[in-house]
Amino acid sequence: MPANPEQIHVAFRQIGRKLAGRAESEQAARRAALQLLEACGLEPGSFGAAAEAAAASEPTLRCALPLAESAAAGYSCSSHLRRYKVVAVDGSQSVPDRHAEVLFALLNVAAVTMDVGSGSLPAVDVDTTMLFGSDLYPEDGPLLSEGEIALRRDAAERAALLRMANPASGPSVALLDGPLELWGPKDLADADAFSRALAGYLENLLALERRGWLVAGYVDKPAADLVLRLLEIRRAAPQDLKRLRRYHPLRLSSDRWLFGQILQPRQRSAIFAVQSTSRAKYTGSLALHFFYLNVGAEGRPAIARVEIPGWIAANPGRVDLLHQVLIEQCAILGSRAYPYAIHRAHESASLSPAEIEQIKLRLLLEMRNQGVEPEAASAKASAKRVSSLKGSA
Amino acid sequence: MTGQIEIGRLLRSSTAGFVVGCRVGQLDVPSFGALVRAPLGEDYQVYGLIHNIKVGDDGLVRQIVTAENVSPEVILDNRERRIVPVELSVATVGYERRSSIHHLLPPRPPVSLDTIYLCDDNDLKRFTSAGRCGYFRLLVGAADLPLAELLAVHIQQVQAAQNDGGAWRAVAVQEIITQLGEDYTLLTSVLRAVREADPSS
Repeated sequence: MPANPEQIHVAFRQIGRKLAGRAESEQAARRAALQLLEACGLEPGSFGAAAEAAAASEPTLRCALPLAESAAAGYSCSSHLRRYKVVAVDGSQSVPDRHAEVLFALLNVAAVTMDVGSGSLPAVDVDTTMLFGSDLYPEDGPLLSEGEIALRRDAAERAALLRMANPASGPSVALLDGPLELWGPKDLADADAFSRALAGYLENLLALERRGWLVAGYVDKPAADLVLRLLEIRRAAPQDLKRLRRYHPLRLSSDRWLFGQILQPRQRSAIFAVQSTSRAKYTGSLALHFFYLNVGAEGRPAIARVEIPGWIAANPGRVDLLHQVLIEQCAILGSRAYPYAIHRAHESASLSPAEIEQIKLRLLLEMRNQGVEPEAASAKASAKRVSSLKGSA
Repeated sequence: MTGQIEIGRLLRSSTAGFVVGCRVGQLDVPSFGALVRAPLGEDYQVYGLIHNIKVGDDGLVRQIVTAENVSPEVILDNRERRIVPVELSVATVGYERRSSIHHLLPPRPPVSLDTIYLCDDNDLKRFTSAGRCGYFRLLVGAADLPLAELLAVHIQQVQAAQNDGGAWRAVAVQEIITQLGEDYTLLTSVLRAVREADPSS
């Protein structure tokens, strides 16, 4: 059954009325944000101090912290890199479906290794873990939640990065699809699961540092407006700081728009530190930093956020090398720039519904071969399946 | 039947022809006009001529071709690792049963994932020496074949394998004249192509 056309029609009219006044508000927010960013470039200290003061009263505050480079400038990298190694990982998962005949979960992590400039065939490594039976109920607890399975996937991706990264003998870059920071799901039955995953991950990061690898998280079309938040805080009056969670005067602008104005194609932004609750966990050489990167073309900026640990942020040579590798990788995909190795990892890790169905059928067969009769699918699932078949005869 | 050069596996088929899928990396062996065979069990195999080779693409390949420089590693990755199959279209020209070759459509076509082999010179000589080019009828009757080029390349390949001073070629040309005698335009086109492909002409 399609959506109710009358209600959709009414909704469109309401949206149209709201949009009529939006363009003007958006322009005003953008102008204000750009002016503030230019001011931040001139006096980063006052912006940083404002953010630190706000964080003291609102510890969950998440925003950028300016460092030595001017926030209102763009930075180019050195020219063509002849040879480098890149490893990219990505993962996907299938969660248990209680309506299906059998409960199982899949974690699929792919790592792609390219020795660019060697002329050799890239390596693709796919690591699949199947969770079945007691695996799905750790320590006799409840069924693994979607968040717990996603956390296991994230941890497996990061472990794969270390597994594939042999001690570096030349420029070597390890890339994650998404943030460098490990995110903790809210629905964890096992309260320590995230702490354990994080501890393992931080050890992996340190090992990668020791092996001489540069590590980065690549966030395409980033939505977390960390710099915009810094600008909002600088502009906030004392009474605004008391209700910071509901104070977003520049919301109609964005980091992507701001840096799309400032950065020329192939340029990166200044490096920022990150104010967040994670500061206490990612310390020393692991402290989280980021920069924006314009991987678009003249007149068509495409802004990505690149998250890096402190050991890279503190070394201009390493930043330059990472910058070059990302530009080279993005150039491979032509007009829709995105790091090739990450795309290939994503492509190799993706589990299609048809593939999951095949695996389920083989699992059902194995159960029957072992004398275990699976349950029937739920009536709801059967009805959905029948509905989807209509008209196919 | 001495050669065992595998060129791919069957994707789909009908009595009149079949399509073979292979990786780009396997593409250095089969060629347009080559005779191939699909063994379907003891004493039974289907023969066909490759009449089209199609290299597929996907969204990623289309995107990469817009880039300024494509590195050797990316080219290798897409050819060897990614699933972008090459399709070889084959026109059926006969079959062999109990060591007897027939220039007729086969009783049943090969089925999905059957292995397809390239015929060597001995296979080619055996197949083309059976009868008097009766299988040309199947090619002439098939729709959408590049008939002139296909026959020209096939005759060139057989001539090289037969090495009989042009005797088989003369029979083949006579058969073409017989079969296309009522279509002067097509006959002229085929004969021109055959002459074009003859190294001695």
